[in-house]
Amino acid sequence: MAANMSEELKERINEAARAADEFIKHIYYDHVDKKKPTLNKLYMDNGLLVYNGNGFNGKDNIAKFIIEMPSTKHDLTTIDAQPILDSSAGKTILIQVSGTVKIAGKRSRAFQQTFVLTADNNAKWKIVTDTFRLQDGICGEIDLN
Amino acid sequence: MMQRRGGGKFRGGNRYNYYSDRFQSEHDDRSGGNKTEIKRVTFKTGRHINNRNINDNKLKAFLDDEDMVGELTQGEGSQRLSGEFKRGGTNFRNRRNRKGSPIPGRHVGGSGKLIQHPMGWYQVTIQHGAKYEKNIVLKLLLDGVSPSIFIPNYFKADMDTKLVNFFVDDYEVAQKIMRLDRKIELPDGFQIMIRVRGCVPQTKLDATVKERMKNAMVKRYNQATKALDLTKFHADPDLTETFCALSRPPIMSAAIDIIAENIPDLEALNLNDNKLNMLDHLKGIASKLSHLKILYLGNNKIFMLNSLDSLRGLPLVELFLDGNPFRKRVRDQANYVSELRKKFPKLLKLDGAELGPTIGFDVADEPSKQLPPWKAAYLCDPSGSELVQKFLEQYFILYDSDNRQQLLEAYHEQAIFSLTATNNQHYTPEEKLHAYWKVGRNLHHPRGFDYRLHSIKRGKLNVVALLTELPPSRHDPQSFAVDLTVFTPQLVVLTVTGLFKERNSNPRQEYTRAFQRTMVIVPNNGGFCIKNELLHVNNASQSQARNAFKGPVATSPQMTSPSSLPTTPQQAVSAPDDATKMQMIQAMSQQSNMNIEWSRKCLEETSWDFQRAIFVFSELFKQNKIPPEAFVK
Repeated sequence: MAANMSEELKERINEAARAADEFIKHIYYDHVDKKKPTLNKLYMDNGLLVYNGNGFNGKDNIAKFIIEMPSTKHDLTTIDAQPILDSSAGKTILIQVSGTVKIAGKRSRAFQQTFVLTADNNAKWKIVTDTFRLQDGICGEIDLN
Repeated sequence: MMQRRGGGKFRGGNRYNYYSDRFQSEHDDRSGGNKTEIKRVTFKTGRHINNRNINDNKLKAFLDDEDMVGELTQGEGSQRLSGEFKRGGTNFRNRRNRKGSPIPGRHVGGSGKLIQHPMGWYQVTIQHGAKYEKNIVLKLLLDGVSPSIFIPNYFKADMDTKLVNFFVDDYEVAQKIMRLDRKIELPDGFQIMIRVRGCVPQTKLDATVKERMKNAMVKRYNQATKALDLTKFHADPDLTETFCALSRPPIMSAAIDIIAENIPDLEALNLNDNKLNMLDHLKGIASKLSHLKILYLGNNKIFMLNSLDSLRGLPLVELFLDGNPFRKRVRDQANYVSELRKKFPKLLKLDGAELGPTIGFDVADEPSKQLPPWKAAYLCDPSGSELVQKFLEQYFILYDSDNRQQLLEAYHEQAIFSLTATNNQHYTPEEKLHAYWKVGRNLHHPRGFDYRLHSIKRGKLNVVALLTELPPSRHDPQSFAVDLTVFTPQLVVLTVTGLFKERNSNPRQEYTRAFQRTMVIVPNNGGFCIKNELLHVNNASQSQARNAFKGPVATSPQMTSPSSLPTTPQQAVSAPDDATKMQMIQAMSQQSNMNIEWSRKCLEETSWDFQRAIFVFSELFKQNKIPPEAFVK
């Protein structure tokens, strides 16, 4: 499988995996679950959060929404990451995670979340888009409270 | 049928009949001509004894031979009778241990102690009982256990074995009946032979039984209070023919399903006196009866407080548990209350008593903190809806077909694809996602460089080869939720979640799975194709599996499926009318900054496909191929 890959591609795949590992395991959920006040720094100024179909534009709106939402505790099951190979996109990666989340201490519910991350001029990764979905939102119980 | 053993021994062959007739008429007199079984057990205890005396006296008066009466009533006949037994070739004592005997082997004998059965059901077996009229046998037993009474549940007389079987649900009564063994004489002078053992009647659940259950439940439902009273359900007069006890898991499951189907907004449920023991099979009740606030479970056989864990998630405010075995072990009432409050945080009333306020500190989330409503679609740019809708529709038609090779066109030459699936050793065989997991990857567990490279698919041939290996599928478009987060002429990023079934010739193995796909879509040869895709497969939740392929859920009015996403007025298939064309030209001009003339030109050349026109424009614009006059307004 790796035979048809260029060295650059291999490096990009590896880089995406390493960035995802650091970002998911040590940064993002730690902030969302425990360090909400500094969360806005993770997003680009014009970043986008889509939470169960509700959009929040700009890092300040995003941070406000997350700070005001009930407390959460995320447990991750799977992590996956890929580089987006497009010259116009710069260094950009996709991350998709799945797991369970307890919202306001209620029962655990399955969720999936996707991030598009891009490295800014200082080589710091920032969230371009963040898409969160509770798995049983549509055919399951809608009542979140 | 009424031929007695040792026929001709008594002169009173018709005496026997007389006795039975008398009994019949006495019975009818007492119950006012109503012969239903239910009425019969309402015998008044005091009068019972008198009746028997009267019977005996009347019997005496009608007997020709006084001595014979003496034999009958003084019990002298017992020796003679046991001789009769042997002559008849059926030695009851010997039969007791015979292999394959229909007579229960345990708890035999009138003097022994009946072992208490955990479920509280006892089977009474009467040897030769089928030779007598049901009423006679029952009358003798009822007299014998007086002042207690009992209902002979599921009474069965077997004409081949001559055995009579029925069930009682009271230990004291069962023990009293057992002690009557060889203590009472039947009208023909033989002793009654009784065996009693702890035993639960057999359950038979078919469409007829379900229909009867439903009818019985309708009768017990109070629409005004949204309350259903299933107290002592097995004793319902409409369910006497089969053993329909809620303590049997299939019956309880059927009952819960009937409720969920017919009264999903049920608020109060009374399950008192149902001999409920295990509650394991009630797992999932929280999603089925999501409005249940009051639950009575008193006088059941719940041995462990933890059994109630199966009910977690019910929004209970009142719970009644008195009369269950575990209650006797509760020493610390405060701890008991606190344990239950952990399971049911909204609980205000327990076992009839109001609960005090919980000890709390002001660290909990304020009630004002709520999540926004769930929405089926987010579009960062409404004009992207048509592309998203068409692309996904085409994609899943091909993906769900028998030939996924057709998907080659949907992927970029250099497409990157990877798959994640949850893997849990506690999964049941049907929950195991091995088919996905074995070709997937998971960066959650630390792995090396090689793993990262090998677990990713690169190039459309490799991607489609992997997709072909996955189980055949059928997606439910009504379950889809779509989030379009990037929409530029060069790049589209979308996430779609939903449900699919694994197609299988055996419908029982058509498991429902949940998926999420994140796709990066780019323009390619005048169309679009997938440059990156991350697929995640998980088991559907119970409620998802139940609601899949059933269309929109009525309780979520805010829900829209992708098929009802707001669409742009343009349709690529047929040319739009002039008014629409004008609108499209204006929209094109606005988005491209080209003048009206060039906007029209661009749309005409792309057959009035708006998305395509925008795409062509952006491609040409990037290549500097649009003349400056196009932007002169």
